[in-house]
Parts: sequence; C-alpha cells; structure tokens
Amino acid sequence: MRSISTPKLIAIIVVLAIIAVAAYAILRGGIGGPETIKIGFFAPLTGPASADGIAARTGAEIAVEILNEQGGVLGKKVELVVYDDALNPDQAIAVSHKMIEQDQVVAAVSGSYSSTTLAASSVFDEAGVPLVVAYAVNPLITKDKQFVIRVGMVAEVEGRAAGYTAVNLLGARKVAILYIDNPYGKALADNAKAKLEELGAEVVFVDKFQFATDDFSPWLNQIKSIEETKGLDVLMIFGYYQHATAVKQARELGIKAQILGAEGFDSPKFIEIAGPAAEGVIIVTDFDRDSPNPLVKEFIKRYREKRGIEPDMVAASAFDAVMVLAKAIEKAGSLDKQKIMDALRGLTDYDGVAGKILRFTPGGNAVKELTLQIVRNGEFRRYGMITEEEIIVPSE
Amino acid sequence: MPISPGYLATLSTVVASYAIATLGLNITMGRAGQVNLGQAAFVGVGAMTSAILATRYDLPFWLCLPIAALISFAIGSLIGVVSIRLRHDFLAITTIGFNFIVIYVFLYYEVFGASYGIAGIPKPSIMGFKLRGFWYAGLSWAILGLAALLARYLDKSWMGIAFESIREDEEVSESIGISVRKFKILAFAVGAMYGGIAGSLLAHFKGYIVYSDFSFPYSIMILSMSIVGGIDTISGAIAGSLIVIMLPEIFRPLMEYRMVIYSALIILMLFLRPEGLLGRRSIVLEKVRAILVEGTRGES
Amino acid sequence: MVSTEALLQHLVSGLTVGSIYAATALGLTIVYGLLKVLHIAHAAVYVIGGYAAYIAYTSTGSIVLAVAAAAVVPAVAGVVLARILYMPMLEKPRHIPLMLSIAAFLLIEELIANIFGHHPKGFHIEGVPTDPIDIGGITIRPSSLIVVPVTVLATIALWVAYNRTKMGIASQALVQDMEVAQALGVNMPFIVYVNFAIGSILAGIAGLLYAVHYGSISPYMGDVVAYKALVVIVLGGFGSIMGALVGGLILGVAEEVLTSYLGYILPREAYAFIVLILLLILRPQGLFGRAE
Repeated sequence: MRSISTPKLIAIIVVLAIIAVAAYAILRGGIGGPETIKIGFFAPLTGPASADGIAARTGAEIAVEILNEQGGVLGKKVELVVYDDALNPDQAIAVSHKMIEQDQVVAAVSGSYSSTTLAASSVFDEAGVPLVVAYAVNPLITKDKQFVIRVGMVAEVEGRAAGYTAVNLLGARKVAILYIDNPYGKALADNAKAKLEELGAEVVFVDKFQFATDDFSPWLNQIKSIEETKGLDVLMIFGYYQHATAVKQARELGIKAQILGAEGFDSPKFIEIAGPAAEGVIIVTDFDRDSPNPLVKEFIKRYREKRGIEPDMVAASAFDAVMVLAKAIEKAGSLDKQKIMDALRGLTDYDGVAGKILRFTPGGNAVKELTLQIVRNGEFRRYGMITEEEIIVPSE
Repeated sequence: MPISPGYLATLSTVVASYAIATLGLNITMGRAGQVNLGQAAFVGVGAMTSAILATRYDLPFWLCLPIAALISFAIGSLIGVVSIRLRHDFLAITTIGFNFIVIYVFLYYEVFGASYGIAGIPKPSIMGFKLRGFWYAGLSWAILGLAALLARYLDKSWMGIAFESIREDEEVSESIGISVRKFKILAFAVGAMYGGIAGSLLAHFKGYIVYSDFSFPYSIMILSMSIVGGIDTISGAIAGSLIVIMLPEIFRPLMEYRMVIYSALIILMLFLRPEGLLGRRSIVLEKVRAILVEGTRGES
Repeated sequence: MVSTEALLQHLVSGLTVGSIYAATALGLTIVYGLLKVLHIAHAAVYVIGGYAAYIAYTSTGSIVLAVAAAAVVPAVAGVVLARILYMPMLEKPRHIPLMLSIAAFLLIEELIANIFGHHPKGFHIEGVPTDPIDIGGITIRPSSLIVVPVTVLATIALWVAYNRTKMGIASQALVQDMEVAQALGVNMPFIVYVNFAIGSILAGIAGLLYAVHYGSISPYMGDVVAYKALVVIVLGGFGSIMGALVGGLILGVAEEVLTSYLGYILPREAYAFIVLILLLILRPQGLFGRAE
C-alpha cells in the first residue's frame, strides 16, 4: 500500500492552513466605519491589577460620554476600543499590534502600569501612532520617543516630591524606603533617595520586593529594628494597592514612623486592604478630592453613580488622557497623526481632574501640580499641594 | 471576525515562532518521553541571548539566532544532566523549578534588563532592506520549515530510534546498549535549542522583551499546544500553535479566558485524546491519511 | 552584627509564615502518600477555603460559620477533584495526573477570578486584635499567636488520627501496599476520599489563616503556596506528617532569613525552588521520609 510520505503531509497541512486563514481574512477583510473616531485604550482588566484597570477604563468611558454629549470630536462620535493587557508586557505588545494594525486607531491611551506601557510604547512609536500615557511613571516610556506623551506624573517628579515632602513638610531626618522591583518602584525609589540625600536626610534602609509578595516581615523586621536602635521618621513604601498589606503588617509589628506612599496607593482598594492601619497614611498623587474645579466634582459624581465606589488617581488620569487627546485632535483639525502629536505637545493650561497641567516638556512629559492626600476616617482628603517649579518640572 | 492583512502578518509570525517552541517540546517529551514543563525558560534563554547580542554588541540577526540556538542547546544539556536521575513527576517539578529560577535570574540581573526588560531589539535586514510585517512573517515560516526538516531528519536517524526506545522503557534500552544518559541529555538539548530559536524570532519581532515573557504560564501555553495539536509529531506542533493562538483571535470573547481555555484544553485532551489531534497514534491523522491515500492511489 | 532580638524577630515571623506552608503541606503529604500524586490542585482548594470563609463571614458576620465554611467547602472540592482527576488515572505514568492537577489548579484559580473579581479583597475579621504584642523585647503580630498554635494543634490531631485510629491505620496500610491492603478488606475508594477530605479541610483552614495574617484574599494567593507546599513535602519527606510541620517551619524561617540578608542575590521564591531541585536530586526522601 502506497502511503503519503510525512514531509509531503506536513507541507500539505501547512499550506492548507495558510491558505485557509489568508483566504478567510482577505475575503472578510475590511475595517470599521469612518463615522467614528477610534481611540485605542488598554489597561489591566484582568489579573491582580484589575481594580486599577477597571477604574481607568471607567475614567476613560466617562470622558468619552462627556465628549459625545457635547457633539464629539471634529463632528464625529468618539469610540473607545478597549483591550485588556492583564498587566503582561507581552500581551500589551500583542494588543498594541492589534489596535494599530487591525482596528487602525487614530491614537491610543494607556490606562496601564509602567511595565506594560513601556512595552507598548515601542510598538506605537515605531508605527507612528500617538500614545497618550495616563499615569505610568517610568521615564523610559517617553524618552527619545516621537509619538508618546504623558499626562500623568513622571517618576522623577513624584520621587522628588516624596523626598521634599518627607524632609520639608514632615520634618524627617531618617527615612526608610521599601519599593516594588519594577519600572514604577525603581524609578520612584531612585529619585526619592536622590532628593532626600540632597536635602540632608539620612536614608537608613532601602530594599525591594516583588509584585507577588504578601509577607513583608523580612524587611519590616529590619525596619523595626532600625526604628528602635537608630530612630525612623518616615517609611516610604512604593507599591500598589495590593501591597496595602505591608502597611497593616507594619503597624501590627509596632512600627510607628509616618508612612508615605505614592500614586500606587491612590485607590479605595488600598484603604480596604490596609484596614484601620491606613489611617494617617499620606500619599503623593495628582488627584485632589477636595479640588474646587467643577470638572472634578462632576467626575466624582458620575464615577460614584457608575460604580458605587470612590474614584481614584488612575480613573482621573485616564479621564484626562482622553480629554487631552480630544482637545489635541480638535486643535489639529485633522486625523493626521503627526499633526495630532504636535498639537499635543503644544497644549497648555489644562485644568483637569488629575490636577492642572501647565504645559508639556519637549521630552513629552507634563508639568503639573501635585497634591498630597491623607487617609482620614477611611477616606482620602487633601493634605497639601506641591506647585514649586523646581519640584514639578521634569528634566526631560 | 475579519482580520486585516497587517495583523495577519503579526499573528502568523507568532504562530510560527510558537510552533517551533512546541516542536522542541514534542521532541523532548513526545518522542523521548522526558517530561518538560519549563519549555518557556528555553525560549527565554534564546530570546535574551539574541536580544543582548543585538542591542549590546550590535550583532546582526543572522548571527544572533544561531548563537542563541547554540546557547540554548548548551543550557538544555545542563538540564539534561540534571534529569538523568529523575523521572516522571519529579522531573516535571524540576523543570518547573528551572523555569522559575531562570526568570528570577532574568529579573535580578541588569544584563537581562532586570524589571525594565530589553528594548530596541532591531528587525533583521538584508542589504539594508528591513524585514518587517509580511517579510518577517515569511522569514519565521521559512525557519519553521527548516526546523521541521531537521526534526524529521533527526527522527529518522539513530537519535529518533533511541528516543523512542527510551520513552518506552529506560531499563530495557540500557540493557540493549542505548546510553540512556546520553540520549536524555540530547533530548533536552535539542528541545531547548528549538525553544531558543523560537525565542530569538520572538525577540526580534516584538522589539522588547522582559523576564515575565517566559514565565511558567507560557510553558503551560506551549504544553497545551503540544497536547492539543499532537505531542509527538511535527504537524501536531504546527496545528497546536495555530489552534491555541488563533482561537481567541477568531472568537473575541475568549480573549479574557485564555488561561481557562489552556487549562481546560489540557484536561480535556488528556482525558479524551492524550496523543493530541495530530499525534502519531491519533485517530484524526489516521482518517486524514486514509482519505489522502485513497486519493493518491487513484485507479490502480 | 545582628542582635539577638532581631534574629528572634525574624524567627517568629518565619515560624508564622512557615506554619501556613505547613498547614497546607499536611494535606498534600497525606494525598501523596496514598496515590503518589503531586496534588498541585491542593493549592486551589486552599484558595477555595479562603473565599468560602470570606463569603460566609461577610454575609453573616459569624466567625464560627467562616471557619465551618473554610472546612466544609474545600472538603467537598477536594473529594470531587480526587474523583474526577486522579481515580481514573491511577494506572498512568505519574506525570499525567500531575499535568491534570496543574491544569485544574489554573482553571479553578481563573474561575474564581472571573466570578469573584481578579483583584484582592480586604478581609478583616472583627475581634482579631491588630495591636502589636510585646514579649521580652520582641514584637509579635497578634495573628502569629493564632496561626502557629492552630497549625501545631492540627498536626498533632492529624498524627493521632493516623496512628491511633482504625481509619488512620487503614490509610497507612494502603500507603504501604495498595493491593495487599485491599485484599485484606480495606475499602480503598472510601479511605482515599476520607483522606482527601481531611487534607482539604486543612488546606481550607490554611486559607483562612492566610486571610487572618494578611488581611486579604486574592484568586492568585495559591500561586506561591502551590510550589512552596511541594518544597515542604520534599523537605519533610513524602507522607510524613511531622515532616510536613518541620519542613514548613524550616522553609518559613529560612526564607525569612535569606531574604533579609541575602535578598539581593535572588528573590525569596527562587530560594525555595533551588532547595527543591537540590533535594530532588540529592535526597528525595527528605528529612523524615523513607528512601523509595
């Protein structure tokens, strides 16, 4: 019996597969209607960071709602094309390709963390599609890129502000830093440490932890020991809401120092997970719940209605990112990506929900006012504002 | 759900790359019977090697890929050595442990980008012409083709026979003169080499890689490709990669449940069709063969 | 030089975390002894325990119901897993049930995430004190005084059950030689299910202990424990109850100390895996096990 040889069989199957897929794709090819302006959006909608992803998406959706209520952009309705990156850089790259090649978005907004945004930014920059970063802080995201701009805080500024706050506002002389080992935490820790040392404070402890860490005792025990022997004024913890347990553990171990966090703690989930230990924690962020800006009040109202919980920095930033992008498209008067990018860079004085953006640096980072929020009675309230030029202007 | 040509190129590149990785797993596990639940680690070794050579030393892709293959082969043989005394579940656990240790090493050391990853990995070019989009996809498939030919050649050679023998019974193999030790090492080395080639292709395609791209869930994904497509055949590796990657693309709602799907598929296939859809002893392949044989026989 | 207080501090923390590992490993070691299966899905049972307790507590406010839920629901889940995944696969090479177990673990984890939300939830039980406790210069987190004693008691109870009850002796007989024991009248499926149930109850309680100690639960809380419980049973010896306790405590303390002082070489989890691989190669029977 003559049977077909295996190499032939392989070849046949492979060719058939290619033809099938290609035929299917080409015959059904064609992209969506020109009646809407498609804006891509990605965030961690699943996975351990999903609380932030969903919050960011909600913020973006509210912006789109308001825009469309007011007639859209350039006369057309705005359509948000949403993708989940599951906080996975590999997936962020995959959905970036999809947004650019398949959905052919005009521009996109990153509602995600630094790790994923960093990965995605290469894809967008190489493709020449504008990417507006809502809140990821790592400097490499915008560095040397032509098509990436950031409306949120950049690590250098946030870290500096943390250092400044600790020494000048909280009177600290001895500071400990515990940070998450990723582009967000590393960048914050480096900059905070630099500012602290510049202002003459002593950094008595620095160490890093992994995202999945739940038990912080190896570090907290050392920190406690330092507090007892040398003294400690401020403990900086740069992590996300998932690490609120570190705050709980710190208090239960008897650590008395003031705890200072950053935007990663700006979430109702942080307060939920830390429990009573959250009381009195101060964070550096840009979303001021007590802002007099009516846009902020409107945003908070709509968010509460949609989700039944308090909004946070990621939601506010995503909202601003979409709004800023819309403004730029209007200003550019066309969907030409280079023109949109130029319009973005030229924007000034946007009084947004996540703070006031004064202008953008040539490197694509926002010069914006920061706020300090403190947890009082289980809620974030304004503690102070930081508006000094020397702190808030990024060097790039 | 319609797919635009640009995105099709992206997808087919990814399919081809993972097919190569799965092919490696099929050799190690399907043919030689050595459990390997950490194939993604070898993909990572190849990817990192290629990325470092390209970004730090400006070596062209055409050098990076072969070197990545060699280094993966070497690391694979190390694991092979470790595996000599281990079997079945203990071996499985060891490979998982290896996967985790490899990514922790990537995470902790700057040369691998630590938590920032390695960016700016360039696409290959021929005489100044950059291979992107469909060209890169074509390149990936060409390399897959070469990998498949090599796999077939090895399979028909003494290596393939030795692998099959070891898979059946290690003691008997030893007694008839087959060095179980040598072939266990080879099984891992060759499988790892394929993984490394896949890694290099993926690294240059994505342009940016980071430690988490090679974590244990990716080993599970590759495992599911193997189990679904066929654990011991070349066509099985390709089919598996095609199915696992394309299914969530065609059925958009499935995207969110990818991990659920991989694990459910593994469970289902292990119960119903442990050799996979196109495995050597699979019924599907028998039927397809029968049809084609009838077809090519013609009137005789 | 590191002070005694600092070391004791680390010791206490390490023992607490180690107890959670041990509590989980107890169930795992029983199961391995019987079916020779590395029941990775055990970690999913642990997560189920945490969530069952959470649901019970947030809907009724009763700690007793929370504990009951953390015991009963996992017990059912464990038995179901045994029936579906392992019993039909007893004759296959051992990596097949292992792969099934891993797949089941991932599947359950994702299902829990999809049903209850992917992100962690705060889980604070009223009545559990949160103020630090000072004993002779070292500060102890109050949850340590719950986690460690519970685990030790559970171990002792389990040991007694295994060595002093009919069920326990029957189980040991099955471990020794499954065919002979059955021939002598031991009801194999029933004993297996009882063991799974007990092991799963322990996993569920461990899940609750986790919530008490960390103040939250998450669908992915099983990830870390899945591999660490494995290290514990390899370290302590497969099938050894005392081994699970001792192994767990050693691992917890070792991690704490290594991470504190050598944390810059590799992260905490890496040490566990290195120990695992070395043990598998060099001393697979662990501390208390018998060489196979």
